[in-house]
Amino acid sequence: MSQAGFILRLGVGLLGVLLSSATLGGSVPAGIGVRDLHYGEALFQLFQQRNFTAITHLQMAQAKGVMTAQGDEPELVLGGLYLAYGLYDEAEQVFNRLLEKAAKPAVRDRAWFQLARLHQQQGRPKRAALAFGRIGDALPETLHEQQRELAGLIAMAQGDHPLAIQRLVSPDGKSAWQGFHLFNRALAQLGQGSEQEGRDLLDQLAGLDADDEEHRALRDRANLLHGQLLLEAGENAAAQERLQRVRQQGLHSNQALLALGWASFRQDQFEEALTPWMALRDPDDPAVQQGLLLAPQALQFYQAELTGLGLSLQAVAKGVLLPDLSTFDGGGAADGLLLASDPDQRRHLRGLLAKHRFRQAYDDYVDVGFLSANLHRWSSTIETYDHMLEVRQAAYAGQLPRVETALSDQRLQGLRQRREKLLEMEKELADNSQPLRLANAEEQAQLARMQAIETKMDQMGDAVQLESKRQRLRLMMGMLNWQVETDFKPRLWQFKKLLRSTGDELERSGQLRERLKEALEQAPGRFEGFSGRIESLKVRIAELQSTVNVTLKAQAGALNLMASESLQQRRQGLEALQVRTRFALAQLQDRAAARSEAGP
Amino acid sequence: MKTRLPKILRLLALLLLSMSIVGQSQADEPADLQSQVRSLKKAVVALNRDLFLLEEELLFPGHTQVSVFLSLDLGEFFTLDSVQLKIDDKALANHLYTERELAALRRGGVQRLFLGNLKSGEHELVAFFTGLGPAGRDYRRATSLKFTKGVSPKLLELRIVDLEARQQPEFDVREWE
Repeated sequence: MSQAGFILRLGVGLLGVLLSSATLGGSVPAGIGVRDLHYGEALFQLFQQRNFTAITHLQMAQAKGVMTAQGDEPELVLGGLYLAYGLYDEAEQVFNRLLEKAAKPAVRDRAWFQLARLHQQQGRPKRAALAFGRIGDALPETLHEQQRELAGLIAMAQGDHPLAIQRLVSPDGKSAWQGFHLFNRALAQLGQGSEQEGRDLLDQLAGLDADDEEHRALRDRANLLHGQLLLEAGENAAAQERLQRVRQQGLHSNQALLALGWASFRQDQFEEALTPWMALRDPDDPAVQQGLLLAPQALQFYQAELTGLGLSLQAVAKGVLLPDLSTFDGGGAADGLLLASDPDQRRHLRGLLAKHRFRQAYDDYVDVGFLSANLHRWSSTIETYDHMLEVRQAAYAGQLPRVETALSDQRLQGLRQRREKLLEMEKELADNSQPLRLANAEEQAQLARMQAIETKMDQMGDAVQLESKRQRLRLMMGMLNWQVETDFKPRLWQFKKLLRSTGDELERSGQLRERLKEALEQAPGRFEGFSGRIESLKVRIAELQSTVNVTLKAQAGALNLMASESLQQRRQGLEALQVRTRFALAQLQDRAAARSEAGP
Repeated sequence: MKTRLPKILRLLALLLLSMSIVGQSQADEPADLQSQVRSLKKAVVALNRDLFLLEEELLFPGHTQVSVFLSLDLGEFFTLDSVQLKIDDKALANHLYTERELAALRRGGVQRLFLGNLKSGEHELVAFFTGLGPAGRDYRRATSLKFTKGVSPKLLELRIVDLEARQQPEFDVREWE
């Protein structure tokens, strides 16, 4: 393979890694602050990669008009979610809408950034470059490194390696994106023929700390690329050193082991070459198949692999290689759906999934399966709602006479009138001091008794012996009057307070009555509204279920075709290898026989 | 034998070196199928939104609707394991947190812990939080709020906030208008 092709192959592979690194969650700048619970709820789903649910939450909040505190932020996030969910047209519309409505510079810059990403992902580097060029200086700082990375990728996609090299430089060299920048800069240097500069950058990357799996895999990739470059240049010992740094349990271990074997082989270290080749795992990997050509058990391996491939091809023909998503409940990850019980079939499907085009089609298949499960759940739930509505309508009809009686009750009006009278009394009391009107029941009873005694005494005449009793009665009446007059002000205050609270209670009762009346009037319309919506949604569910079933079958058909072609090609390749290995062994045997016939 | 092995290997290598093994599949997912999937996704997303709106209006009408959310600010002094929510002494929600959910909360996500109905009037919410506190010690705290349910939907937020000054977590409930 030519160096340009070799680099291109690695570059394309890396591009996929980078785009997946720039996850949607990462494009939501930290520190913006959640000022709206509904928006926060959508972020909770988004940060767990539940894009479909996050989209639903944002759309619901938008429809209800309850998300007003976050400005254009929810719209931007929704656009990003559409992009991640493969709804490219909708994403583009959202970003364009934000740009058309002359949003704030920070929002505009993020919209241009997302548009540039969208075009770059869709393989439209010119449009990506145009959108990228519109990004101003208001992009949040947390997105600067992603911006730098995107700038480099767009330049590389346009074949402008010097520009990519210039763009892919972090100012402080401490960013989490530093490794990606270095790798892509190395690719750009190699792409423009500056091999030594490219290798130096790969060495620099290999020396970086790698705290997570993504960065460890990137470091493996740098060491592998460097080793392969040195191998091509004939610097076998140096290649060996780089290749030995690739982790054996990593994604690139097979390629590294294969190259390591060649590095030893080229230095005539034949037995050392066999060690990495014999350690090759995963017979589905082309690197392993190539490596095993040189191993003693190659023929047995090819035969076993051909048998397995034949079984997988039979499974494809029967349509059982792919998981059956017609009964999918929507849970679990795509890899958890590999239902084939045969380990070879599972392995072959995984091998197919490693290919970008198959993976893309398979992801679509799983997405449609998820939609199918979602519709299935709704189709049973909506029947429950229909029934619930009927029950409510019946309950409403049952309660209607009682409610109507309650509404026609005039007691509330009578109570209001009584309060009006008390308010007048309060005014009179405040204007003309009449303390006895605020005497309590006991005091009034005492007063009435004393007045009755006084009347009786008056009837008994002016007997001298009654005088002391009259004085005592006057004293008691005076004390009672004094007590009532002294307490008048606090009693008046208490009276006003009671009247106020009675007013509040009457007000609440009035509001309740109005709400009841309103509910009574609106109920038939609400029932009709719900009933109409349920019926229309039922129709939509049924229509979409039918479309989903057709699409699921078509998608399975397309995947089976792709799987079949790929497995057939693999079988042909293995058959050719088998023939060549047999031929090579026959030649060796002939030579050995000729040598033994010729004698020592 | 030892001297012949390298020769055999060398010959095999010469014979087989230039071979390419596995071809790439040329078949692609048909473009019209891709566009059909996209159009389907769009239609189901819209349908899902309408169904959820119907569900909410039907099951949780505004005048009785109560939502309780949970948010986490930083979360350095407290690692949340579980939360139990009670309203008027009735347990309404229990949740055990996964690492993924905690990460989403720490990044600013807000979890809707409960959506239900309550009649108008006075109520009391009590939330119990369990997890690991400062220095990795077991930690259990509760917070409560007396609130009035009126005619509009009630939104309540359980907040776990790091108090830098005391190096302790603080738990409270906020009522949203």
